[in-house]
Amino acid sequence: MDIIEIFREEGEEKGFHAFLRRALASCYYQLKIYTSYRMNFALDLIDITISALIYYYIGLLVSPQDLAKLGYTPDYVAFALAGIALSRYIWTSVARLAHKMRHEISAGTFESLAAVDFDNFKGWLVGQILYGFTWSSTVFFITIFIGYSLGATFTRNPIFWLQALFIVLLTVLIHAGIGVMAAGMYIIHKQLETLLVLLTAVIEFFGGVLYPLSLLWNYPLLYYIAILIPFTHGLELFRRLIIDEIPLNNPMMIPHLLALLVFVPIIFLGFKVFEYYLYKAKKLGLVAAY
Amino acid sequence: MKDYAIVTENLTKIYKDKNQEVVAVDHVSIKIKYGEFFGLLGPNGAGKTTFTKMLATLLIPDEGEAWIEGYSILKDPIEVRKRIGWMMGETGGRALYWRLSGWDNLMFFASILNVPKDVAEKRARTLLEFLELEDAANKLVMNYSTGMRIKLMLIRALLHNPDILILDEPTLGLDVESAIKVRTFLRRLTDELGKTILFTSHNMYEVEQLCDRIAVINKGRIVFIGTPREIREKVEEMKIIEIIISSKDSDLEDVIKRLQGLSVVNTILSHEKEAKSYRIRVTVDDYYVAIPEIAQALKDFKVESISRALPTLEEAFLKIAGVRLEETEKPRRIRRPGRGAH
Repeated sequence: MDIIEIFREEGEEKGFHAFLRRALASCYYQLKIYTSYRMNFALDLIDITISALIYYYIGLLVSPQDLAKLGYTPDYVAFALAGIALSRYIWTSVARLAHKMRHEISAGTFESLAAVDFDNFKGWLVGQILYGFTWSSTVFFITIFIGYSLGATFTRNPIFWLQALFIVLLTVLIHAGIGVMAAGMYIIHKQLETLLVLLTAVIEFFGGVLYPLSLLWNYPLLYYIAILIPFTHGLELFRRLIIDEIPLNNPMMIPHLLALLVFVPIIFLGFKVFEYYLYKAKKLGLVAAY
Repeated sequence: MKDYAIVTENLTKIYKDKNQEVVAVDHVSIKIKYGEFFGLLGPNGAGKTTFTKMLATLLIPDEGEAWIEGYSILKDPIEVRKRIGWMMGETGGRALYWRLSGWDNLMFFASILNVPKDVAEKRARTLLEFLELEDAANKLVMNYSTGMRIKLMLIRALLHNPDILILDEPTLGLDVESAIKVRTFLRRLTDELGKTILFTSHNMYEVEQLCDRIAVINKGRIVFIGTPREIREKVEEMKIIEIIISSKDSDLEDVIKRLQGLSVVNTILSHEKEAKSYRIRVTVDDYYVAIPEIAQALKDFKVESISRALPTLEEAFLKIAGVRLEETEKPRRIRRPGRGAH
């Protein structure tokens, strides 16, 4: 076939199908890039297992009576592993996108993407969020599986797991909104990545990954900081569902659910902020600057 | 605006630093017709890349406006992107994912570019074969040579069959055979499919062979627009003498020194060593005075010929822009007034 002939054939995908394909391509090829670093992939799997084992041993040291006093099922292994499992989503939602942006900008591919960006990066960003979610979910399920193997008392009732899945999705989406926002800011403010690592640590610390939220009642300032973080509410709901089998319509759960819903606009705000910073970067000539 | 593929009006880009401003592109206005092969020439730092990046919507101008097939780069950037294929030359390899194979890179960008899978596969396969990359298609791009990456970048720019191609040094780094192939192919794209190509290059031969029109840019400003023939005519007053001397028993440095010592010689434009001779080109004010004096000064060398010559495109560029193409010319800087300045 003559080389010119291939350009006589027209074809363009449009609408939601095109958007979905862009998002899936962004996710699929990111996964390919990630797994091409085989050693890194292996180390990540080892990290998940070791973290779970560490909290199992810490769990042996924590008195079940202390947890019972605070209104939780007296099983610290289940308590900590539920926190660890959900917190895995936080890094991939909040900090990974800015980290990815650093890679794209320094490698030069971000400029290349900007030249073919047909939807203000929405498809690409959704694909990257999807990738982060897929990877975190893998880690999540491995952690929960290890938890079951170590005797953690997670619920076996699918109704609670379905509700927990909804809470996970909501928490991830809200934090992904923060992540998209941060990724946009990173195009201009290159020092932001370090701050995000700190922010992730702060979220995990105040969110109560390793201790019950009710412990903070004695420290009002810390408690107020904690309740301003959406992860705190997501984690509290998640734990109550999969450990204590308390449904979402329980009066004890409603305030946390409402608090979490208050943060939903962040998801949309994130894309707007990204768009603004992308425009600013194009104005300042910083799309390819690292 | 719709009568032209590309129109720019007073397009200006100023890079702002803490203490100063650098005018990279200074009120550039050009019109490029549909199906035209348009060359943008200029030394390093002249503003070529900044200009092409503004058209590719990667940079937002500080002043002025540009339209691609009637779509504004400021108001309709997405429509603009759909119509152009942009390829960054020199550092082009950076625009690819090195941890993916060549094929995966193309399929990824095809998805982002909304090209249906079957069309993308067909185009990618044919273009890979045409540019002799089919054997390397499944290798990671990190293992590609510079030339291979440039070819892949070109394929990527063509995947969505854009009407307009903006190519920054597309043949730089290619071997001679591949460069010829790419040039022929690009020319066919304009001749047979009516695609518009805006092309930057340092290779004068390439520009002369390919371009219907040329713009010369220097210090962010367009200093000439016309056909390659017009650019030569514009500098016809350049009086050039070409001297060919046998390289046997002669030293080029001695020849140059003798020529530099002559008051009738204004500039030594170029000197090249060929198989058995040296070819030296100089500018003079008066042929009739200069030729006998040059012959007298070089009487100790085996002079094969001293003759009048027409300017090459590169020499024409030198005359118009005031610098050689390979020279790095810093863009114009404007000092910002300090806080206390009135």
